[in-house]
Amino acid sequence: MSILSVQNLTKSYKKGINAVDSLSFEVERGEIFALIGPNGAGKTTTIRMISTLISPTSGDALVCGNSIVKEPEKVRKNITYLPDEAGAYKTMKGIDYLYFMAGLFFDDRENIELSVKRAVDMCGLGNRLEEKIQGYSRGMIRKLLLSRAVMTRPALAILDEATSGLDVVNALDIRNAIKRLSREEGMSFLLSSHNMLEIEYISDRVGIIAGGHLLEIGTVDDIKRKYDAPNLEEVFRKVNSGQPSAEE
Amino acid sequence: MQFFNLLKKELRQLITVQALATMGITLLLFIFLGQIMTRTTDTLEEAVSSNSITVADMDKTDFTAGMFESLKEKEIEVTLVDISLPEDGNFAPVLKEKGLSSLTVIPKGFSAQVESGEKAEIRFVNAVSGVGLSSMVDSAGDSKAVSCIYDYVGEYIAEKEHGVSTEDLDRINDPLMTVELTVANGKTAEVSPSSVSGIMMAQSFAIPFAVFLIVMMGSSSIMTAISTEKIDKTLETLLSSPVSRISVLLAKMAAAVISALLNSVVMGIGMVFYMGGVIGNAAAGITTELEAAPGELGDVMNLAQAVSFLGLSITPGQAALVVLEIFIAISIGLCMALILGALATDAQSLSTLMLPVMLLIMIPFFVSIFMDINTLGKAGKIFLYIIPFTHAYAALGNLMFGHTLVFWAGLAYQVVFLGILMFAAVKIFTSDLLFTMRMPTGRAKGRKQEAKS
Repeated sequence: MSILSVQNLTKSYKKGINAVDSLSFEVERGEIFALIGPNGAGKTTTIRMISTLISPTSGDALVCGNSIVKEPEKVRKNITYLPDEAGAYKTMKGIDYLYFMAGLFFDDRENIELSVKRAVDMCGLGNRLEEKIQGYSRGMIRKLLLSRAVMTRPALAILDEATSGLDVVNALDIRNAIKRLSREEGMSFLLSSHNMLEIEYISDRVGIIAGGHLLEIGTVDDIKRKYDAPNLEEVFRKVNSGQPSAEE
Repeated sequence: MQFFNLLKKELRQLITVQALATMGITLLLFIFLGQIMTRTTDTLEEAVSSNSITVADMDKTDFTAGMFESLKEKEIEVTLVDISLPEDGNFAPVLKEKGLSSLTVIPKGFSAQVESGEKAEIRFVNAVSGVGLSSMVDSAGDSKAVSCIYDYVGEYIAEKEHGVSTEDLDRINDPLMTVELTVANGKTAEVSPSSVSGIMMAQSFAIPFAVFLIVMMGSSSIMTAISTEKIDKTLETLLSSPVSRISVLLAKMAAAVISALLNSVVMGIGMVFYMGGVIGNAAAGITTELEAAPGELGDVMNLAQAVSFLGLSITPGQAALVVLEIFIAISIGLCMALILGALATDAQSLSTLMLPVMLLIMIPFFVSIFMDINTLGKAGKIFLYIIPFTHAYAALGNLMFGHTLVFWAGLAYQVVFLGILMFAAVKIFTSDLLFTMRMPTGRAKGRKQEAKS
């Protein structure tokens, strides 16, 4: 069964102009799926709809069989979302932030403790978690937020520019962690990124989106072969040539 | 459970160590100012009751000696000093040399001028050392003494030239006994209207001030909280987790109310100290004076009884209505702030959006301090009563003076206004608008941000 099934998802901010137009794709259990596309392509709008933050004009998406339109509360129990350039509550200590977020997902102490322990182990911030977030660097905040996004073992983690703000070593650690979580724990990921090399390294399948339309979908190798391109950047350039940006 | 988790988070964001420190400093500042005011009024009282005068008698006649004797009989302490009149008319060196802040100079020929029927001259020299109230204190005692000198000379002229006795002169100067009556709410009490309005002003100032503070602080807190969440994208993280949007909205509003109340309690305590310093002595003086002068129209009343008799004090039922009105005004402020805060896209747009709310809170507040809104012209009244906060500021006065229709109409208007705002807030919070709406002027920047997708 697909963890995520997007069915003709459409979003229109202005009448007659679709920011996202009849988008359909599926993400399987344990799969890492990436949406790539230029600025204004409709990536963030798609992700926001799947995260139940905004509602689609038409179409639907099912997360673990639950409709984002009809059952958004059930959808939210199965997903976590990490926006691009997101911050955290500056007046909180890192550890308190993790407890606060875990408390939104679970009512019982045991699951809260387990989730926080998982995040503490993963983020690698050690004693710095006892400090207030306002003293954290951008990279530290990103690591905290990423560990928060996976600590509750969601069926689908939605990460927008997952490694932005991280240095090479930390970015590599995060990519490896995402791969490990998908392979070992069967966690599914929906990624959005401008970093083609990262997507090529990490993703099982990619969807190329431009002007609100899904132009190409497949494994990285298949797409590269199809466009006779040495890497995704080259594919992206070829696919995207002549595509107008969506009006949002 | 989830709601309390959210409320705890909101409170931790609003009531920070810095916020508590600010509250503490504000409280200390009020206490400090209150003490300064108490000291100033005490000094003023001391000066008024000291009845002392420093005189440079350049005339040195029997008349001036008699005048000083008469001052002493009136328990005014006269200190005589010898000076040489400054040729350039500048008394600064003289005051400095003698260590004085004021000096009464009786020039040579003063007695002769009185005797000849001329208008005699007396010089009253005062040093002003600052701009504060305390800088005027020193001259208060001297003024009283100078007034006694006037009386003495007046009595002398009246008796010598016109054969009028001191008693007759007193009667001429003060021929009437004034009985001051105050009419309010169809009743009459024998109290001075200025005393009543003084006490009422002190009372009625407190409520608008408290409303003003709570709405100002609560609104700015909630606006900052919601816009910061939006700008930092913590709102997206929060609302994509399994919490209902309504509980997020309610937690934010509840935290803002709690924070605003805490701030107001601290401010209130500070105001008690401050106002105690400013009006404490004056109010005590008024009450004593009134108790000593019972009226003829009814039983003996002190000021508090008179205010109550005139229906100008507040009953528990009226107090409950005023509190209800205040609560609705606070809720309106918070709802407005919530909606406008959601429009902000950055810190700059936040401060721009705060301005109209602050103006709506401030305009009726300042008007209500200086005048009764019901005494304004029709256009002024309509303009102010359209602002929902006006009704909270005017609630007490409207109930006290029997403008019950205005009060109830205001309350109904506020309820409708709040209903519309709450509907809008819920609509925004439960729809795409929370993420898509933005301040009109920020559209270009907003588009740029959206284009990132």
